[in-house]
Amino acid sequence: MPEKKVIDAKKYSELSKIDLSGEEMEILNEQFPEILEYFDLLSQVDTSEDIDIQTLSNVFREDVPVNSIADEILDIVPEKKDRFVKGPRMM
Amino acid sequence: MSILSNKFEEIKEKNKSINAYITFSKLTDSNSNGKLSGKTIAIKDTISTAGLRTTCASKMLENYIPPYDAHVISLLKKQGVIILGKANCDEFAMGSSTEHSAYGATHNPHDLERVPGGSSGGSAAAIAGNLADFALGSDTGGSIRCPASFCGIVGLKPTYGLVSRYGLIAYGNSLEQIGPMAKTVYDCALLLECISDYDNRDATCVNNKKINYTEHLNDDISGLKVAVPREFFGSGTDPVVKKSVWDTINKIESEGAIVEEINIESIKYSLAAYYILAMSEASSNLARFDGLRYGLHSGKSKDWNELFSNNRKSGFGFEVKRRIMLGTFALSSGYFDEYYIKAQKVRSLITNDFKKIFNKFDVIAGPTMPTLPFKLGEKLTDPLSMYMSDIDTVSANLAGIPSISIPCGSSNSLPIGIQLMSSHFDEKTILNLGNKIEQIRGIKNE
Repeated sequence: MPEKKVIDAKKYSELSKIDLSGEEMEILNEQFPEILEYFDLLSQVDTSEDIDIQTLSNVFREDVPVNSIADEILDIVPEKKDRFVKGPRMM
Repeated sequence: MSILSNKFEEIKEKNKSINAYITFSKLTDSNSNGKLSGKTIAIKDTISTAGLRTTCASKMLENYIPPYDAHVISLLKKQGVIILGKANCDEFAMGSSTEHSAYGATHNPHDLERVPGGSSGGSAAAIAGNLADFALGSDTGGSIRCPASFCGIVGLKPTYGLVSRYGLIAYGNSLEQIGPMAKTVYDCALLLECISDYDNRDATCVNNKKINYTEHLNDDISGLKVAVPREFFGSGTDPVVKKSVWDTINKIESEGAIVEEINIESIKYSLAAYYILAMSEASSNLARFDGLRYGLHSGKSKDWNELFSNNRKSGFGFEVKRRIMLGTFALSSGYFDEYYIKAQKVRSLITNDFKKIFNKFDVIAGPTMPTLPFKLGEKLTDPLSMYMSDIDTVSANLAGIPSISIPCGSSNSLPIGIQLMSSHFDEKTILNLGNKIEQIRGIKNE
């Protein structure tokens, strides 16, 4: 039997940039192993053959200006200075 | 307008017990010469409507008023439809019951103690409860077909690329499509006709010749080859669902269709592959909700990291947090190949299996949902059991093929739906067969 995988909710809450409460963390730590065990069903599938997973191709258009709604988009920004979105310090 | 105003007040009153709508619109005059003039529609709240609040059933977008219309909305306005409001759903379309909404659960009009299905549960309940003539939903892993089945209406997930996703707030963008929901197959075909139109603002939209789906609804079904995969009747399938779906299949066989039971072994891996991919895409798509440019803004913080994490803590519900975190895990260093890439490969295998089947058959048939609509709260604390309810619908999203749910019977007044799938861009075949099923069941089109 493969060992049950553990996902550390705290680590992934930091990576996902979602602050979690202690209770949420506890529930997720309890639920994740069961969900992962189900996902591990895929290990039964033989994917050793070369399988093409990229079936999309690029779509291009002529480089001509089109109407923009930049002003309307800027209208709903909660904090801004001139035409810039104002954010907190990075560090 | 005054008749409509009275009707609108009635709808608002009825909505109190069903909770199909999150936001009602202000009625305005609409084009009286369109294909849908005078008809009313509910729009799933994941689809952007200029000037009309679009919340995705999330606190994150509680006050968000989109500055633009989704492409499908612009098309519908030209056809004169009256938009009544924005329909409830699971938050960011993540769920199968419409219980994961920051604005309260939607109730199934057939039994108010049961779920309407999800995630487009408000859209389906609006039609079933006579709160709209039509609805738009979006379907990432069954979110149109599941509520259509649970509410006893018709719902179609189009081929990936048939309908523009411009203005659809993304959850699993490689899987989802906006699609029509209505009381009858005819209405569903009519709505599909109105929304399937090429749009270069969605780079995955395919520029095919337009099809008038309503003109193909009385085509003969004799000789139509229908495959029934045994995997769609797994151990979790309620015997009453199995019986109702098979009774319908037997009837279409007696109308001249050629029915054959088949195996598609890769189907048993579809749910795991779907959830890994959908959650991975969700973790990336929902990274845009930082509260800086729009959406919930929780106030001052000492730095970017704290602000971002706080905004997302207060803005997202628990299911959204769970999926973003699992998706982040599947994409993270050390697990990327084992989960994300593996799921992509399995997706390719499943897609190839479906293509092979459509070389021999015209339609794949089976149940839409393995069970009858369940009770509110029944699966809410057990995410895996909730995910399992999508077992028969997700493969169509992985393969990108069209799929429709049509009412085929009921048990104790709870609806049962049959699911029909066809090859890429062959919506007309399943609409025609669906129309035949309605005729067999004695349902009249308008």
